[in-house]
Formats: sequence, structure tokens, C-alpha cells
Amino acid sequence: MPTGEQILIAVLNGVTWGLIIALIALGLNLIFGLLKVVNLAHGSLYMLGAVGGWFVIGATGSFLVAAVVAPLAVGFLGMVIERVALRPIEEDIPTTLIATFALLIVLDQIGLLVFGPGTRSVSAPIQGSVTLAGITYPLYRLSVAVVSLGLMGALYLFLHRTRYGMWMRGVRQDLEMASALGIPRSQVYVVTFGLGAGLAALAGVLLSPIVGVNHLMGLDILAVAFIVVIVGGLGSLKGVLVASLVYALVENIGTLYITTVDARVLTLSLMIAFVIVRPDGLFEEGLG
Amino acid sequence: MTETVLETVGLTKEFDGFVAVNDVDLELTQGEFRGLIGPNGAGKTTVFNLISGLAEPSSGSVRFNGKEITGLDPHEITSRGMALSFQITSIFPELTVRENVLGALHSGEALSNLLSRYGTDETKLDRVDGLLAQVDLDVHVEKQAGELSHGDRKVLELALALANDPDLLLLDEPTAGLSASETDTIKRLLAELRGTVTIILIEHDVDLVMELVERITVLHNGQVLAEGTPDQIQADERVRKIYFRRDH
Amino acid sequence: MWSLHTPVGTVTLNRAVLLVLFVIALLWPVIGVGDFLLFLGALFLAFGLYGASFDLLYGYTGLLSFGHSVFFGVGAYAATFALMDYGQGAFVGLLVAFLATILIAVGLGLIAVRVKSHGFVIVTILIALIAQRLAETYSGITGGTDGIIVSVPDIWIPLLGEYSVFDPTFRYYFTLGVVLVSLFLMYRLVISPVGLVFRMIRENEQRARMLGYNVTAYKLIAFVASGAFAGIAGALATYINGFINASRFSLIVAGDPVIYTMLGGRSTIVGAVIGAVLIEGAGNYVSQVTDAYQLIVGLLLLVMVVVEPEGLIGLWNRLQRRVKRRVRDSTPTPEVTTDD
Repeated sequence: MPTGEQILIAVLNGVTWGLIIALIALGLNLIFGLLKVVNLAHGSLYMLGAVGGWFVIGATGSFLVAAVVAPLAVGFLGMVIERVALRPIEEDIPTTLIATFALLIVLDQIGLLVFGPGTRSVSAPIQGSVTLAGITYPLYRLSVAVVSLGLMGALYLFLHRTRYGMWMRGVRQDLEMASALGIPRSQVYVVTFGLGAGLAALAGVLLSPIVGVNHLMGLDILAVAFIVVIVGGLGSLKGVLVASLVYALVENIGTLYITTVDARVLTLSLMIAFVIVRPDGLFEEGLG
Repeated sequence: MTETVLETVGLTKEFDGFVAVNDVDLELTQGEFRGLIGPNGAGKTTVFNLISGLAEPSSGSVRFNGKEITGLDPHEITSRGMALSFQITSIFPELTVRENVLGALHSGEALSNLLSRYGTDETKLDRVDGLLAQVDLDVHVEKQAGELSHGDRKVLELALALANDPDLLLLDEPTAGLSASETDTIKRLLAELRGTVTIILIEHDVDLVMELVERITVLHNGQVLAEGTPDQIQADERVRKIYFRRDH
Repeated sequence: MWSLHTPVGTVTLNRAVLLVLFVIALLWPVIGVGDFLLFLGALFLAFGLYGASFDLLYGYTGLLSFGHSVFFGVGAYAATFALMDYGQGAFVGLLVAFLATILIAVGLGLIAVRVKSHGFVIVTILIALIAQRLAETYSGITGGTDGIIVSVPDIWIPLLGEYSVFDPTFRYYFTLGVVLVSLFLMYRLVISPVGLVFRMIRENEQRARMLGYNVTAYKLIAFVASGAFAGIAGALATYINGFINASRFSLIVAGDPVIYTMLGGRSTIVGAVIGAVLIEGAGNYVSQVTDAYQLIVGLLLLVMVVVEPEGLIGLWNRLQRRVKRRVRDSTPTPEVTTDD
């Protein structure tokens, strides 16, 4: 039987991991909610963030610079993708799906060409650990959890307090009304895609000291991000946060009893079982 | 002998505390042409959805051809002989006009004909082409449905509903958005159908309903306000108050 | 439309092109292309069947799946186990592949077709990602990335006798036979009343439902039929390669039939086969020159869907229309011409 300390560590890991997943999945669901595009390349943008961050750290030696530059660059790339590849076919949803799948292949292959195969590690910008309730826990992981929470709060404020945020919520709730009110829909789409891409890339940079950098890391995160989006409800931001935390907690606590791979398969199976019972997910579209 | 085709008892639908349809009793006998009118928000389309299974009633029941159909899936209800035409035209744009009707005709037996080619059964083709001739679409049979004019698409929509010789036809504003001459075409078709099939016509256009139907049910705030012949309805003070005063 | 009226029927340009391609496929071994090209020919036909099975699902029913690799992989492994562990022959292997894929497709389909709107796509890609992970993890069963050598026993053909799959000409014709029969069955399905229902669902799901069709059941039928033929394709590819590994389940493999179909043209069945031959044929040469082959394929797909979503057949039809118009414009005839 696992000890209380082990369980506490698993819970902390679960929360951190869940918040990061939520950050990635929020962007995915935000894009879906507005553009109706399921971005299959979302994991690849996350990977590009980590890879880009690795190069920036190599060049400047600063994690902080990487955490700013890589997400901005990937966010800009996202805006270009929306404008060049998705805009011409935005009326035809299945075709946009194929386009994002093509992007997945292209970006992952670019990752392989510039980064090469194999995993490389990144050292955490914050060393040391904290002791609480009888356990020691890496300070960096706690910081990641706090930063993720802060980013989600910032996202909330952005959506509710800024002009672009209001526009985004408007387009999402009633496209026709939004157009009638003169909201520049195309501009909102570009910004939304860029924002989602940037968030994914930032998650990639933040996670790189924990999981390492690998050109295939996007595929793993894609599966997780999608399952939480389906379970949380397509388009629902609140649902994504809940589903991410549940997913990560179940998986992390599961690893105390069974192997890591089995825990992942078990968690995914549970999530899929949930989808069978409730095909529409936890929450139907609604902006939390 | 007049048989009851459709009967609703205490049909009620609530959305988050708002009662869209409240305790509606309807009874239609075979061959009847019924108009369902009421101002915007009276609950007409919700009644349409409740009868066809697109929405589930909060309480009350629907009986069709003497059998309880409350809570069944829409495809189960429609395959029992109910046909619908939607307010927003709903056809198969990239199929030809003939394929549209052929598809409507196949329902229920497509699987048992797995080894055949569609569109080779002579009796079915005759039926399809006959129906298309009846609605004056016979010159367009090979055209893609999406290339039809707006009015012709509405007519095709009606043909889809008629394909399977339904026992009950539910029509939700079949003339919505049509020009005067297109409306006349639909009106003529509906007049031809009178007596051959039981019809519920949901309409905003009161004059159209008055001309066509035998009996009218007036909905107001989700409740049945009045029911009677067009003359009775026109004379009804309560109906005049909520309806005719405003629109006419 | 250009056409030639003959006593045996009208030959349109499209039919003529198809006929020529068919004759080339039939005579491929006879024109002396050599063993390697015979091997590639057989392999591309199997890939073509894989693509066509995807077209049945996407092109006809409108269900976009990125999980087709699962059926390809399950079919391949089912046949492998039938041959290697149970000593069965090649035909039984194909049958096992067919049945095993049906079983898997029913299970997965019950999840995938019930999820609303774009949930279907997401569920299929999830299935692909999970299958890939499982296949790599349980390498004791799948052989992992190192794989399993598959030796196919000699095949006895009624009236003709016994042949070895190591005979390139026999292997080619065996594959061609299985692929043609499969394509014919798929073609019969899409021209049947059920095929019409598939297209109705693609065009307007809600209307099909309100005409009395159990749309969920028909989607499941399309999913399962499509999966079963992908399973056959997987088994064939394994016979031809004599080898199988876990990468059969990879996401790249899931994307292949999408690319074949988009390139060749959707809802045509045969378009995906042409797409497969072109892509794999080019790939065979390009990948010898550069490592960036997958990158090029991805870019090609991207440009394709953004510029010409109807694929080569769409381009071909457009070209025909243009030529027709030019011919018509340059011919001084008094008759009234109307544009289509």
C-alpha cells in the first residue's frame, strides 16, 4: 500500500499536470468554440514551443527569454496558419480538419529535421524543493502549477475585460449578431488561433524541464488534450478544466498501484467509458 | 368511419422554468386538414418538435395511429408513417432531384435490398417520377437539388415528405420566404392533397390557412386558445384580440 | 463531354482513361517490368484498397476518420496470427482479418458514431493514438518496432494449382484479384440503396433521420464495412512484405488513406487507388533522395486541400470543361450555347 506521503505527491503531480493539460486544451477548445476547427496540429504547436524554447535557451542561456520568445513566435506562426491555410477553406469544416492534419505531419517533420530524433533535457530555471506536510516537492513543479493558474486567470480576464476578449465571446455566442454589430470576425479568428497556439507553446516550454524535449511529444499531449476536450464538452472551457484535473489525478494516483503505461490506458479507458455514457461530455458549449 | 390518426394529451414542454407548450390536447381524424396558427412564440414549432420526436415532452403523451409514440427517436416515429417538412428547407443538395425522392422512398427497406442497385426498381422509379410530375419537378429530375431555385427546393422538400405515402403530414411554414407565385404553387399542391392525407399545417400566414384548412387550432402562450372551423375562428373574440387586431 | 459512340456502348473520356489504367494493371507483369516493380505494384494495390476503404467512409458517408490505421493494423496482425500461430492458409488469413476487423470496428464504431458533430474525428484520432501506444508497449505480442517475419504458406488456387507468394508474378495477380473483388464489392455497396443512404447522411444527416432512417445504425454500417476492407488491405500488405511491425498503427499510416483519397478525388472509390499509386510511387523514389519525404507529402496534402479539395479528378474535370468550352467557343456554330 502506498503511504500518505506518496499519495500526497501523486495528488500534487496530478494537479500540476492537470493544470498544464488544461492550458493546452483550453486553447484547443477556444479555437473549436469560435472557428469550429478541430486543430489536430495543436500538439505539434506545443512541441514547437518546447523545441523553440530549447534553441532559445541554447542561444541566450535564459529560460525566461525562451518562455517569452518561443510562445510569441509559435503564436505568430498560428496566426499565419489561420490566415494562409484555414481562411480559404473556413466554410468547409471537414477540409479544415484535413488541413490541420496535414499541418500536424508538416510541423512534426520540421521538428524532426531541425531537432533530430531523441529526447534532450532542459534544466529547470528554479532549483530546490519545498518541504510541506512531511514531503519534499520540487519547487519548479509548484511554480508551474501557480503560473498555469495565473495564466488561466489572465485568460479569463482577457475574455471578460478586454475588447478582443469581448469580441471573441460575441463571435462565439452569436456569429450573425456579432457580424451585425461590426465585430471584425476574421481578425478575431486570427487572434484566437494565435492565442491558442501561443498557449500551447508556452505549455511546451514550461513542461520541458519536467518531461524533456522530443519531436514526437506533440502526439502524446494531443491524445490527452482531445480526451479532456471530449469529456469536458466540445467548446466548454469550464468542462476542460474539470476534465483535465480529473484525468491527471486519476492517472497519477493510478501509478501508485499499477505501471505507468497501464495507468494511462486505464485512465483513457475510464474517460472513454464516460463518453459512451455521456456522448456530449460534462458540459455542453458554454463559456465558463 | 373516421379514425383518430393523432392524439396528444396534456402535451407540455418546459425549458428552464419557461413553459413553451402548456397542456395541449389535439385530436386529428383521418383525412383532416388542420391549421395550427398563433403569433410568434406561441409554441407552434415546439408542438411540431414534440409530435415528431425532435424534442421530448416534459409531460403528456402523443399517440399516433392508436399507438403511444412519446419518447421514441425521431427516425422511429417517422418510419411509422409520419412525414415532415421543415421551415428551413432541408434537402440533399449534391444528390439529383430523383435521388432525393428515391432516398425518401427507400426508408425502412434499404438494408433488405443490399444487393440491388438503387434506381433500377421500375415500380419505385415510376412512383418517384410520378410524384415529381405531380409537383411539376419532372423537368429537373437529373439536376442536382442544390441547383434548384428556392421555390423548387421547397417543392422538393414537400415531395420528400410525400414519398412514402404518409399517414400524417406535418408541415412547418412550407411557404416561408417564398415569392407570391411560388406560394401559389405550394398552395395549389396542398389543395390537391386535401382529403387524401391527414395534414397539420403550421403557418404564420393566417390568410393561407383560412383558405386551405377545415379546422384551425389557435395557440397562444403555449396553450390552445381556440379551435374550430375557419369561420368560427375568425368570429372568435379572443382570437381577434390577440391575433387579428395586431396583424390585420 | 467527349464521347465515342460504338456498337457496344458509349465510351466517354473518363471511361477510356479508366479502361487504359485497368489494362495497364492487368498487363503489368507481362510487359516485363522486373521483380522489384512487381513487388511495388502489388504493394501499391494493397495501399490503394486501403485508400478506397477510407473513401467509402469519408467520401460517401462524410465521416472523416483518422483512425483507419487501426483497421489496417488489426487486419494485418489478425492474418499474421492466423498464419503463424494457427498454421492457417492465406485465404483463411484474409477471412480472419476481415472478421477480426469487423469485430473491432463494431466496438469502436459504437463509441465513435455516437459522439456529436466533430467528436467523431476526435474519437478516431484518439483511437489511433491509443492503438499506437498499446502496440509499441505490448511488443511481446506485436513484435514492437522490430516486428515479426511472416512466412506465407503456398496458396492453392482452384483449377490452377499451388503457387508460392515468393513468385512475384503470382503475388501480383493474387493481390490484384483480391483488390479487384474488394473494390467491386465496395462499388456494389455504394450503388445499392444503402449507398444512397450513406450519401444522404453525408449531405444532410438530420433530414435522413427525419425520413425514418436510423442514421446511427447506417453510420455504423459504413464504419464497419470500411474497416473490414481496410483490414483486408492490411493483411495483403503483410503477405507482400512478409513482415509486420507495430508502426502499422502509427498516425502517419492513419493519414495515408486520407492523402490517397484527397489526391485521387473523393467519392469515386477508384480515385483513392490512383492516389495511392501516385503517392507511394513518387515516395519510393523521393525517399531515396531526401529525408524530408514525409514533409513533402504533408505539404502536398496541405496545398491540395487548400487549393483543390476535389483532388486530381477535380482538376481533371475542370480541365475537361475548359477544353470543351474552348473547343465550343472556337467552333462557329449557330446553336445557342449555355454554360453549365
